[in-house]
Amino acid sequence: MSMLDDKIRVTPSESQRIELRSLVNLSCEPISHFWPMKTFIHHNPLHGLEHLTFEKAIKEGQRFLRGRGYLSNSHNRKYFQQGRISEDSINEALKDVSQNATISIGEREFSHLEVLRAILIHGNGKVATDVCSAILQPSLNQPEIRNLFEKIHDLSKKKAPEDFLKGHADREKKDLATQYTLAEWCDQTFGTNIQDQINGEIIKWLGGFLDEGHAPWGMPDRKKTFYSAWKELALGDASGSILGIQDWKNKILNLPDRPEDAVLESLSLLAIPKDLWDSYFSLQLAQLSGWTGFIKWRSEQTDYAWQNAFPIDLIKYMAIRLFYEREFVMLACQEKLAIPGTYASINEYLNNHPTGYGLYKEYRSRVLPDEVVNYLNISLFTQDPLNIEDLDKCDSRLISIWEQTREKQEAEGQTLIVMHLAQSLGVAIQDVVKSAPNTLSTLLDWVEQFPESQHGPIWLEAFESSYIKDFAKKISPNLEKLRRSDELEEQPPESRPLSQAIFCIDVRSECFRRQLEEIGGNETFGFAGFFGIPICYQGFSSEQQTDQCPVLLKPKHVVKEIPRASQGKAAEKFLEGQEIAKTGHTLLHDLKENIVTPYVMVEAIGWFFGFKLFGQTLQPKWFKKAMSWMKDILAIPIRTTLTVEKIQREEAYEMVAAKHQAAIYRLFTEKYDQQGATVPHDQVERLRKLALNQIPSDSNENEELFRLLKWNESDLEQFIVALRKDFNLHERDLDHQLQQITQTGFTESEQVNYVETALRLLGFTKTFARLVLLCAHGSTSDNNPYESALDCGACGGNHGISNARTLAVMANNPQVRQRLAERGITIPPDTHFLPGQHDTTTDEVELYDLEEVPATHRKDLLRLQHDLQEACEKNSRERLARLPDVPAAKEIDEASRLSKVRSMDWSQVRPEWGLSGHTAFIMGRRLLSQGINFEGRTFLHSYDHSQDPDGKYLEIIMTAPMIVTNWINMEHYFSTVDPMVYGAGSKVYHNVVGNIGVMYGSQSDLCVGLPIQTVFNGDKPYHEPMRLFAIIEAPLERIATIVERHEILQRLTGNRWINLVAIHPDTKKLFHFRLMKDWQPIN
Amino acid sequence: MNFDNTFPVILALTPLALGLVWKFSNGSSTTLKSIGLTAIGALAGGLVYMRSAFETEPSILFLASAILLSGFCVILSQEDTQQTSAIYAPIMIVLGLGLGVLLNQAIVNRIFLGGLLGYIAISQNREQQNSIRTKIIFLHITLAIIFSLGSVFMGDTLQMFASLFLAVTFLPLAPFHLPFVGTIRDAKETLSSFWIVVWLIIGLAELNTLYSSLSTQMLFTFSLLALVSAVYASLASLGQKFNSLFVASATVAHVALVWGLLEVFPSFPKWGIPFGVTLAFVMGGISLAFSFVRQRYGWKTLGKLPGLASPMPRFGVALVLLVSFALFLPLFPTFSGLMVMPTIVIHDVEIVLISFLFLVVWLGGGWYFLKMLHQTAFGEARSDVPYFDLRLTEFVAVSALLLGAAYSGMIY
Repeated sequence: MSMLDDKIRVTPSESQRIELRSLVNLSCEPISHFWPMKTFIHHNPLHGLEHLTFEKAIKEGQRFLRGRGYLSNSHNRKYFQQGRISEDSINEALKDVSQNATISIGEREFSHLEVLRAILIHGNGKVATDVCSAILQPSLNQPEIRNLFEKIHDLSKKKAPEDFLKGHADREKKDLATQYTLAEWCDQTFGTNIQDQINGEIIKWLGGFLDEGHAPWGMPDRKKTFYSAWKELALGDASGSILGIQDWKNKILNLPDRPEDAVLESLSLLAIPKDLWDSYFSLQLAQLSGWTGFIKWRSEQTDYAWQNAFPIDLIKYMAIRLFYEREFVMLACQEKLAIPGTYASINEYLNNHPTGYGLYKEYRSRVLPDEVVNYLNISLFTQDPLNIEDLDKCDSRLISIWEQTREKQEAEGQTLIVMHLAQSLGVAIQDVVKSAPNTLSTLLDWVEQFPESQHGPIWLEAFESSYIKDFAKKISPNLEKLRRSDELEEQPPESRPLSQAIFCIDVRSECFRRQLEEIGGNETFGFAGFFGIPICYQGFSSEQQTDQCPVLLKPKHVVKEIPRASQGKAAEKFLEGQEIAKTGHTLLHDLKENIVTPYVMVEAIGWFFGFKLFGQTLQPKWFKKAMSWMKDILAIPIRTTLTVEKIQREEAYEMVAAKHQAAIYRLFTEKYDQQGATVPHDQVERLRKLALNQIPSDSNENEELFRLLKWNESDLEQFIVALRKDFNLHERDLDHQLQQITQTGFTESEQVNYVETALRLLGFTKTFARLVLLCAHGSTSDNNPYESALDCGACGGNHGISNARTLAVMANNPQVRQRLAERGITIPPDTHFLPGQHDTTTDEVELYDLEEVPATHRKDLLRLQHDLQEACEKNSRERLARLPDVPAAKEIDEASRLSKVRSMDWSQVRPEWGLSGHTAFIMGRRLLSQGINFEGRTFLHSYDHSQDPDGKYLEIIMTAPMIVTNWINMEHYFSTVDPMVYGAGSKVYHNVVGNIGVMYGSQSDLCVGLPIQTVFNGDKPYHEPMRLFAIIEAPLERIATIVERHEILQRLTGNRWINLVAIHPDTKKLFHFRLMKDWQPIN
Repeated sequence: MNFDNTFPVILALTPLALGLVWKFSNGSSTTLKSIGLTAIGALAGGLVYMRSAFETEPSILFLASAILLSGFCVILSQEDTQQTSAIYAPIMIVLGLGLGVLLNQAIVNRIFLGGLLGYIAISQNREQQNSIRTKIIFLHITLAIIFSLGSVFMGDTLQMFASLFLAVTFLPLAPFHLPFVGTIRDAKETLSSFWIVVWLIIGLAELNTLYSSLSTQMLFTFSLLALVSAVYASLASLGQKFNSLFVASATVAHVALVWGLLEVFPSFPKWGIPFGVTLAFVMGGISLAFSFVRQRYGWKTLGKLPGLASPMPRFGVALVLLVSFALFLPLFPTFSGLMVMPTIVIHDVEIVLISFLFLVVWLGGGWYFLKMLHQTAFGEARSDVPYFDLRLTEFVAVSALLLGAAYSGMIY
């Protein structure tokens, strides 16, 4: 391509740039955010399209992302054969698409619905035109089939002939730049691989730029922003020239400095009409939706350190992408068609040569019949550039032969359809042949109007309908119990359970809760795993803070883990050990990643890694034990507590002042030895204030200092400079430290509020047991980039124990309890809240802060530990039976052993099923679900509508946990229906890139969604993809009012992203929420 | 005529007669299949008898067995069809003519060969294509018939050239490959597989009688021709759209190895015949596997039906095994040739030439076989096609050819 004409290069105005920027951002709507892998967030891959109905959003997803939105028909048919989808449900789902019409075949009459049902269940028998002739051929020996074929052929002859050849150009003119990019058009038409070339280049640059500490050598010039860094480095990159772009360096040099200007320049060169820009941008952004999703997320993070250091946004990305596209499209169009690679010239070409182009397309798609190919000069199709004039002049006789062949193929295809349909409906072919001609054409029209691509929504409706009916049947005994219990005028006196446990709503807690309850004497509740306390948590000796709450929330409170007062020396030793381990780790990392040292290192200590390799592979359990033993030697675990109490500003000031004073004494002793230590405290305080500019430097008042230390003015000045410089003793640091300290913990009122909200949300306001376990959860796996996906989603993909410990500290606080009692929640003094964590991979529950448990509760604690152990073993056995590659555990402790080994196995692609398989989220009293085996497929949130008359707590549940479960559900749904586009494909080929995500093989888009091993069992979906059923036991009006108040709920329910079901508190009947205040009873 | 001479004629005439009868009658598919298989069984027994009674040359019997195995596989894999005469008759006719060429000598051999060439010409004529290529093929076959029948009456030198012409025709080297390619292209259904085997086996038999009389200069000329043929056929394979032409080109490319190595390795029957038979079985197996897909979907163009390994696992396994075998084909003649090669001085030019030929065939083959495999077995399968995997008899037929190739290449 020649250099840009001056005519084209007109510097855009600032408003044009702003407009363009917002257009690009808006065009990214179909692409959902991509969170970095360390905080894996389950999310809806079509989140940006939630304002559309589910069906429309799927169509848009198909258009831009090329993703399939429904499970394949073959899988759905298998579900039907297994009885998972009932015929009644299919009839119901077909009601909306069927007409009130019938046809007669033989002596039987078939309604439209019956025909549609037969098509849905047995398929329409449609076969590609290019193979139908061969498939039909053997059957044509039967006279009735031959007659049928002839009848259909006669019918098709009567129809107006379609212009097949010109159809290609007409379709492509319409679809160009709206359904596919110019580069995609070139690939489809010429068989080039421009898209791959562009993606390859873009991934190379993005991988380098977006790296977050994974690469030993960072990409240079990253501070200059993505576009500028690329411009700088691309000059020295030969790949552009190698790929055929001429005058590469000059083209890069001539690119505008502003990415907006570069985008406008490329659009101008590609001649994309302005009204198509938005869809064109969407098509471009959707090409690498994982990477663009990450750029979208990162560009929106104002306080993200990596973004602040190395800025990137969608417009910068677009500028580079479009540059590559314009160059490659230009090359391809020049070479293949001898036209410029612009939208306008391609359109003109299609306009002028519809016949020749149609022939070329037919040749390329290899559907030209042999009769035509044998008479055509094949070299016409293979010339570069294409000799379109000669193709245009193609013999009309040939075209006619071609059209006749096509007509015959169509008739053959329709014959096959009718044969298939006759079999599905159970009618004889003779009867079909004898039927009136319009019967046959009606039948074929019905098939045509109900293509397989439209079956997905029907199957989904039917699947969901079957599921909810089965569900209603399953819980009906509990509903009956609930009704009887509610009808009792006088409630029996409630007895205190042996223990109570609050688990996360997670589906994995459902089985564990059931097992624990079945042991007897234990009552359980379900609550969002962060226990309603959004905190920013910093573990002891950790340098990083994690947000322990759903991504919908931003934590305001910092909680730190600190050693208990008695652990002073142990803590020091622990830190020393940690330091040694860290140094060793850093050293090893540097040696491995350095350009020279690996050569020597492999020889010297390479064998050492053999222990790890063989240990992890052959004896993972022993190896893990050995590693833990070594770790414990280096850093003996210490007992810690959390900084839950709020520190007042005055106290915080005193803490910082003491720290500053200690720093001053240190500097004194460094400079003046013992003499420095004798400086009186008031003088140290004076120095501190001087350093902080809190008092003016008055030489008269400094005399004491001068006398003691034999200083003059300049000595004092130097000392203060040293304090500011080396010890950060300045105003800014003071403010920073004060802010940090005062952010830590909660005030008493805050603690009371959090505890009250948590208990009231659960309907847990009375009958407290002596021990209440707050059971968080986390997982353990090895060599698993998706580890955080198995952890607690409500805790931002982290282990939830810090939140459980925080709530326990609050709930055990006597002052908090006193104030709770004032608010009507009386927690008996002998009730102790105990934090613990359920490892969902091994099923073990680890209890924390045991030193806080009163001595009087020893026996209660022992019993609880015993019950937890029993529940753990039973749960492991139940869970392992659902995993495909585990031998049936004969002994109960065998199951525990197997699940532990699984958690340590570095080759294990499926340590546990995680959240896969879920279908429903029940919000109601425990009696509703108690004792029912939901097979780990339901989220359970405790909620008692009778204790929440104004719906305040239900509103919290519906606007937080329900939304999060919807995200989880949508991620699982889409990862199952299209594992390659919306899911992450097979884990086996995953490679971590830049510490932000995984790629498929050595170069691919960032894998969004879940790996196939998470949602599929072999080639069968383990996760049954359906929209989540949010089942709420509450008055219908209350639910509707809450939905009405929140736009997000209106969107999700109204557009059918979630199925909202209510259990009427009085009648105990189930109702499906359809439209606002339109509740449809579920029979 | 004594029994020694008439028995091979009877063996050849039996299937030929059956074929001619079937040509004009239309029996049920099952009956013809059973008779065909029984006849092949009887012919195999006849070969065993010949070996014990007449001490026929083992290499000839080995080649005849190869034809029988191929015929057996092709008949076994036939599905029930109404057009029995069009399917079974040609197989039996070609089988009879092929056996006649292999098992007989002198004038009888030439008559059967002339008959076979005549049958090829008739098959070509039936296609009624009037291109220059077809005309060249007819001219070529006519010349071959003349050489075949006339060679009996020619002097030694002329007879050698006539035999050489027939050898390069049946063991095809470019530019003498057109009749072979034309026959494979136009063969109906599974017959293409059988034609590949018969064609190469007759070529091998022809070369076997001829190679000892070839001079060093002639061998060097054939090495050069083989190199050109290998390069041409490899390129042709890469550019082929049609599966039958792909197999034909790949066969021509690999046949070049036989001609090329003839100059370096002595004892042609020890390395050339086993390799030739292996090649015939592998290519015949690939062609047979393709023909099953062609029968089902009218499939002729590579890349039109990708991803077949997933919906048709038996086909996938068979094709992957055959292609894996094919990828290592150049190693067989090289190793077996080295084993029989005496430590004599070889000219550098020959070594370079042979190495180059070996690389062309091996690397070229690796390239186009993998490309074909990718276009056929792997990738995403089309969802608008109803797939039917190979039936057990079809799978057994392909597997038998594969086992035959393994036996010939590694054990024989």
